[in-house]
Amino acid sequence: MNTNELALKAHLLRRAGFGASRSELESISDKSYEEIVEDLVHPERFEEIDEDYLKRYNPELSYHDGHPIHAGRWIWRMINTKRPLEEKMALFWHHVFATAHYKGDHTPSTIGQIEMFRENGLTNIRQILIDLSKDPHMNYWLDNCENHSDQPNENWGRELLELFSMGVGNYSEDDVKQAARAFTGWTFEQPLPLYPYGHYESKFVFNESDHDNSEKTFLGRTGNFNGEDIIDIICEERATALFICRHLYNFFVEDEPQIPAWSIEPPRNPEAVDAMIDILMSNEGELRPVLNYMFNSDFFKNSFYKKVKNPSELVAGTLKLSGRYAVVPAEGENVGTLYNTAAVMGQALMNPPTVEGWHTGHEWIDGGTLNERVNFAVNQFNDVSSPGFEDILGRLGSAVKSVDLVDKCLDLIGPIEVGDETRQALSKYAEEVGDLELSTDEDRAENAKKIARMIQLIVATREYQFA
Amino acid sequence: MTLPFELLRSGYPYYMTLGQRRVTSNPVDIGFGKENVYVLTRGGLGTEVRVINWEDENLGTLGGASLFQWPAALLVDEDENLYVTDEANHKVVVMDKDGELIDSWGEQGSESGQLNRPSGMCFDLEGNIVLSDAMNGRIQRFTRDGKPLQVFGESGEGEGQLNMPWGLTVDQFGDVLVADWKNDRIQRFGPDGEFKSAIGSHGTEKGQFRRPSSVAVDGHGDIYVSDWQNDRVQLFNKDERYIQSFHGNASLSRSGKQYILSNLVTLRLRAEGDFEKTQRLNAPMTVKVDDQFRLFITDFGNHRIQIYQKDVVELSETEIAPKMRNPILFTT
Amino acid sequence: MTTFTQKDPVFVVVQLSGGNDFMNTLVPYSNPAYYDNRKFLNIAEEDVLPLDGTLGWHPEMAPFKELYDKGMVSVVQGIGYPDSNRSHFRGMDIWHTCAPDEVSTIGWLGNVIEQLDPRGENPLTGVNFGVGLPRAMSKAGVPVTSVSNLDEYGLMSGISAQQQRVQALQIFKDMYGQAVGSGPVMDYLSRTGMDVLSGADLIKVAPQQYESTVEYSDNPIAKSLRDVARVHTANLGTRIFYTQQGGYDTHANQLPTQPGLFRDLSRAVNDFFADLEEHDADENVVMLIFSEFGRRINDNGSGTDHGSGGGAYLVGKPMAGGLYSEYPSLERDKWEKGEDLAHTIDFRGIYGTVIEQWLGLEAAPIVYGNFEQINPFRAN
Repeated sequence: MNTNELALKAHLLRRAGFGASRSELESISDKSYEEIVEDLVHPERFEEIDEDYLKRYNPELSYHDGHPIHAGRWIWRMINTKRPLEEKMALFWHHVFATAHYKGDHTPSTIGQIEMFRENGLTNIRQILIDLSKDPHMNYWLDNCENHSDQPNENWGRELLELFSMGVGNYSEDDVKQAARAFTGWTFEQPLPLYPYGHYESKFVFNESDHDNSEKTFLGRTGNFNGEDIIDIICEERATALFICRHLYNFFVEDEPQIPAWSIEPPRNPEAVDAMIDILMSNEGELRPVLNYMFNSDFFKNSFYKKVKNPSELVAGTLKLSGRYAVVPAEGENVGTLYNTAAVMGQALMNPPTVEGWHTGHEWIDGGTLNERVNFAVNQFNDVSSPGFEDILGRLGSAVKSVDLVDKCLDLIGPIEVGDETRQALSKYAEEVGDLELSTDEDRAENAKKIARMIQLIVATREYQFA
Repeated sequence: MTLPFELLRSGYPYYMTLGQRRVTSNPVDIGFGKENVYVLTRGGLGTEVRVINWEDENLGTLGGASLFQWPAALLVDEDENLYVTDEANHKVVVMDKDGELIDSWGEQGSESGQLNRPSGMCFDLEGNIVLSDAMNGRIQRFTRDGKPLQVFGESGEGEGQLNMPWGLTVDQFGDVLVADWKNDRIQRFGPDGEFKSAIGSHGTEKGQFRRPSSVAVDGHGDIYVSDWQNDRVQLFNKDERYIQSFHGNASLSRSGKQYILSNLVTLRLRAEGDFEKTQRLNAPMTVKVDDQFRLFITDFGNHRIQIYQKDVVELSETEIAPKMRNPILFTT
Repeated sequence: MTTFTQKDPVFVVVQLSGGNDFMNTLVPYSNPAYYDNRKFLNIAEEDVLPLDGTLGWHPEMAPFKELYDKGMVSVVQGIGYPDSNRSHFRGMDIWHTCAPDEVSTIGWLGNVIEQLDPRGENPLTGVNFGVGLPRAMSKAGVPVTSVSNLDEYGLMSGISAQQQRVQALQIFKDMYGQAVGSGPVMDYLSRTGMDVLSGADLIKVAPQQYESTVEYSDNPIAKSLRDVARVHTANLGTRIFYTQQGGYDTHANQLPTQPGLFRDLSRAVNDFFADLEEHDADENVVMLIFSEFGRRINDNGSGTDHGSGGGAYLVGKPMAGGLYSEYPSLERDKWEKGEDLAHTIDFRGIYGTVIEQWLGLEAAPIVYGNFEQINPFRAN
């Protein structure tokens, strides 16, 4: 495999997954780029992750009394899954359909929604919107449980159109009202209370007697519409395809302006988005063809470092490099802490700030979050006994020359590229440590820390903040 | 020691529920003092030993993070000293009933006498400690102050081999029964560590397991297995034949009742909910039996202890017809 | 640099997370209804530290009572807001954003900090001690500093050998300091990285300068308040401090839990003000202690559940001391939703009181409206 191909595969796995260690890249070295894309969009080809060890050593995962440990489990899955795009799509839909734990404070529903995205995230737009409309967490978040035939509540109808499908400017206020009426009676089963024995699940309920059964006119069509009919109509609209494709482009290819600006700012790459829309629409909303096209496109292959990593990508990607939080938890490792790790970087998974979701791109970065990102990544390489670092050390062979140290390390943790200023600063450090012998145990013991320091400096760079 | 020849099984009337969330939160094991009940808890709602009594009153906690990090099993001796395995620090920690640390032993490793994630633990007939050395895939016997006496088993899937063993017990004949967790079976070893038999395989059918976490044997030789991921406890008789499953019949504990009665909304929600859901087991971690034939299940995911009372008539050989070779339809 | 003087008003917020039980903090021990409804979880009359013949402090609040007796504590009784939300998360959000009817990402103190330092010149105008920034402090474009460990604050803090950390920081500076024109996002990253370095340089003088005879206890809230004292006495221009004490969600185990929390809190607050006094730095400091909600009137046998009306405390030399607003009624027909203490004053009025009477800013744009204020400050 030549370096360019390797770099391209690494790029693909950073975007369609959460990065890859060198041994993971080697394990797919016999597959072409196109074959890897096929594998990614067909996660069912790979075994589901074994959570038994995780649950044995983090036993509170067996009940649903608090979301942070389940959010941490999600990051653990991002690190360890053999189906990276499954988790990445779940994260994608969580970004788009931002629903926060704090309102319902009902963990089974919070984690149930993510489970739903994991299952339907690669199916089609219609399926996903219908499942979403029936999801108790979303239903409560946007008040559809208060949407009664005699007293409609428009919140869900409005956000479905504005934030979840078509975007402002593509429907009227009256369409919002009509959509809301069509979703009257869509509610959920009252869950049993948390005390004294912990949470119980809820599920979707269609309350026919509370449904407005009269005629509605929505986006120019007239009929006695129910919620499914509204979604059918929405899915016929090009505006919906544009909205979804722009989200896909923004999440997987290149940072777009923040979403509220989309109604006034055109896409960065209109041709790319147009092509994606055509594929999505001609495949009746199926996502796999459009993802396949996107990952194989030139615009994707030329999009290196055009995205700022979101905190989940940074945390999961860095832990993949260090080899921590593996399938069998190390002593005392509690996945709940991963929730907090990403939260202090600005992404409290399962708890986005508002229904508009997270502001992404460079807005992930401020003084506090940069401090957290850098320190977290650096701290993963304080310990030279981590499996990931030992793997890197092993690959450096019996000696590494000072002049090669920067390139070899950049290669092994990516490959990634850095700018001239960064390279100069890293080279200065390489010169200071000089040539490093690694042939004997003593040499390795002495020089491992110096190499770990180089890795620490690399994961502290500006360039490392990009996916 | 002899077992009754056969039993007339009347059943297992539900005896009582102890505990509630935030008191006996995430219970992993249970032990009994003269008056008090000690519940080992581990998880996001507290990692410690909770002390309650039979009136379900909360008497406070012992231990905690300063003594252990990943506690897996609890034993209470005749002086009410408490032994706790800590699978994060590869130790057995001993404290008195006031929570004072009195001993701690064990070090990480794979040599004989060393430990790698000690999990399940029980006393043998002499009062020595037998424990699952999970990551080493073996069982070890120690004196109470940590002197190694015996080691048997090795990692693997074959007969007598173990994959991440968890709970275990010693029956009245000195046999060691082990929840061979990752192999989805119970294995029986003789007192010298020789393999005797195995129960179960992977699955959800009767007699099958998904990650069994604990095993107990009562004075009739009946074997109880907490079938962790299947959310049930299964009962096998002394011949290792499947008898029945327990899925949970929880009633409200005293503290739980008090709690609900003081919360108007909780009362309303409970009045309208699917009541059956509130009774079932969720990730039962440990089963224990006492000499009064009470069955204790730490209902981990529901933060409570479910207790059944066995009701049987013991039969001698002359009080029951001999086994029949052929089935009969005429059964009046 | 923003000009500031040592005597600019400083505001310290202490958040009691989990919902503190107000009825067992300031106990209405003379009211039989208290004992009728708190059958298990009550403080016996002989144990309370009486304050006026009708109310008394929890016995573990003795160091706090000492401050009260000196006239340094103005108690806000019955603080809350209409239709209290019993969720911790949502409840705390409402306190943080002053927006009970919508989800907002703008913190009230974010607005305050922006007005105190409009051009964002001092990243230390607002300082939080704890892990992660509370929403109260956050507002896009308003730089604030969040410190989890003051002694090891800053980049590369995990590199323990001092010399190596210095080396790593120098390389960081080389990597982030030189880039200009390599794209707007890369440039922004460079600037931010350099800001973080300079902010850490500013704050690191605080632990170096600080000396005190006050010995704080060893617990999280004492540690946090000592950090506040260290930064405040270093005169770095910090106007808003934020910290919290967790553990108040006492559904069960309240009897063993709450006294320990009160012991830690009241001792720490007392030590904090003694420390400031020793440094002659207490004249310009006011502290607000609050919790996201109070707890239910009836206990549940071993604890209390999420309720609404609670209490807050304004503490400091500038306070007039005493009781403000009204203790919520314990009469059953006055209960909110049939089981809660009804609030008697809106928290936004108390924020407004601090914003206008202490910080000298206009309250309405920050708390989104005009709410009844109190007069808890000493007349000059």
